Amino acid sequence: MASSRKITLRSSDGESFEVEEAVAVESQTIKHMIEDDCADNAIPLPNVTSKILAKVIEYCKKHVDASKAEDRVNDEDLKAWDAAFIKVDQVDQATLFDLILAANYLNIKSLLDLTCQTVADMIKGNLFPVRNEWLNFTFSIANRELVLVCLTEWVAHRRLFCS
Amino acid sequence: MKKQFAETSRSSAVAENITEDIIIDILSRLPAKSLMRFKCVSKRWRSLISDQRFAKLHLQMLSLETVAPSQKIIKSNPLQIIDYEALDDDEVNDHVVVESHDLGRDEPQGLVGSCHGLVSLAVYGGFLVYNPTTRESRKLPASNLVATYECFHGFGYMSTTDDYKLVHGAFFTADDGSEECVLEIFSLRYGSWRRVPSEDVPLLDGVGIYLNGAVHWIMDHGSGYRTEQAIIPFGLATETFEVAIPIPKVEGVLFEGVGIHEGRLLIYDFTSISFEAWVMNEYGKKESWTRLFSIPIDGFPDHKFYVIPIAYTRSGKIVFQIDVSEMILVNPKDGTYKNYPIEEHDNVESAIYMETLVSPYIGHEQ
Repeated sequence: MASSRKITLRSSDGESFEVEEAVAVESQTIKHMIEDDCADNAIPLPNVTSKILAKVIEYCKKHVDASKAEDRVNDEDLKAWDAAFIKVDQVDQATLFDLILAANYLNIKSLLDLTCQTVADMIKGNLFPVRNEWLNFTFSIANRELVLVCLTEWVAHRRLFCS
Repeated sequence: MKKQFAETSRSSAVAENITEDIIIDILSRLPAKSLMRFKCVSKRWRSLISDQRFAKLHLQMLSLETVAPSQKIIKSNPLQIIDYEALDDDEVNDHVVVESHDLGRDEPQGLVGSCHGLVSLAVYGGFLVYNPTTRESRKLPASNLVATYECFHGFGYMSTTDDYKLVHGAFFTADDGSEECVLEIFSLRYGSWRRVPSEDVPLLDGVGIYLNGAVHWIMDHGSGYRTEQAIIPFGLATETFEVAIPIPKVEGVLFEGVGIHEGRLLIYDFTSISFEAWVMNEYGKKESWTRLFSIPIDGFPDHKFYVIPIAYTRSGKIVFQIDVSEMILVNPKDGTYKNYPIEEHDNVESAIYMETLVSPYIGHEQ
């Protein structure tokens, strides 16, 4: 029987979040901390802001619930939820990279897969029909090489001239 | 704009944190063709994308994709790459669809197999392993076996040693009149030919198809009405012929070729009235053979010798090569098609390949 112990997570800006242990251990990093008995008080997460931590918790909650449900949530439905969760107007581009870093630091593989795949799709040109959104995206990318690559892909697809 | 600049200055703190691991993860999800372009972005990216460990990761990501990985057709005599998905697009003209490749003195005589984006070609005096995406080409040392007409070939991957093997077999009539088979295998990692024992080799012919660690040929037993057919697998790990997989007996059909369809073995035949294709849904289970298509061919172009299925597009159309003169794109629902002339030549052969970064020099990196 999974314990329904509550774990407190503290973001870099000092906000506390109380979550069920089952949700917290979606993060392998937090899971190891709990196993190593470091979790009596709040677990500090100095690399994650409250804004991002809230989104991460939302993601983990959904995925834990999805696997618990009596009639297991359809894979298709969960995929649809993930797509809506990461959708460009829901998550601005800067937040997307913060989510990648958080998923990496917290070691949440499925969230890392989702966010990296989203960036890959953006590079392939699959997600931005409108030119302005591309500009916003390239501004928010904090990596010179990725910016160059987005721009070259755009030219290759000739979208700059079509949209 | 102001907001964006503010975001950018905050983001520059994030820049240090986008570690190489994350870049690798993102890049591994991009098409090989794009990655080849990205090599010139920076020295760091050039060395990353050229690294064979990255190529391996990228290949693994391709196999996880639910959408079919990007594939093209390679055609010999002359050596060309055909973007068959673009054939499906009404707006596109022939120039975009066909790309010529030049291997200099090594003009390929035939295609001998395709696996993980590596294509094996028979050239004058030997073989070549070529990746059309990276354009890396490796000439193999000549085998001891003289090519005869009664040859069979295969090329595939062996996961236990992370190696690719080329199988080259030939039948000879010995002095005492008996049929003998000589079988040689070239390992890309090991870098040389080895003769392997070959007793009781079934009479095989042509190019085998790689799937699941084995190369497969179709074989006939008996003749006329009593012809029994089977698929003969050659295990690349065991280097022996394995248990034959029986093929269903279908009225009016004598299967003439093997292919792959969505990761399953496919067998096909052209009768006087239709193109028949069956797939084996569960590998090795003869009960799982299911009819995939039966397309009437009364509208097809005239052909003298053969009609060979090469590829299946995302929209469900089939590409066929007709003799050595044209390719057609057929809609299986109604049998209608579009045709594309190809440069006529003796001995045009085509095969499908995946766009990957795998190097033919594995184990012998240049």
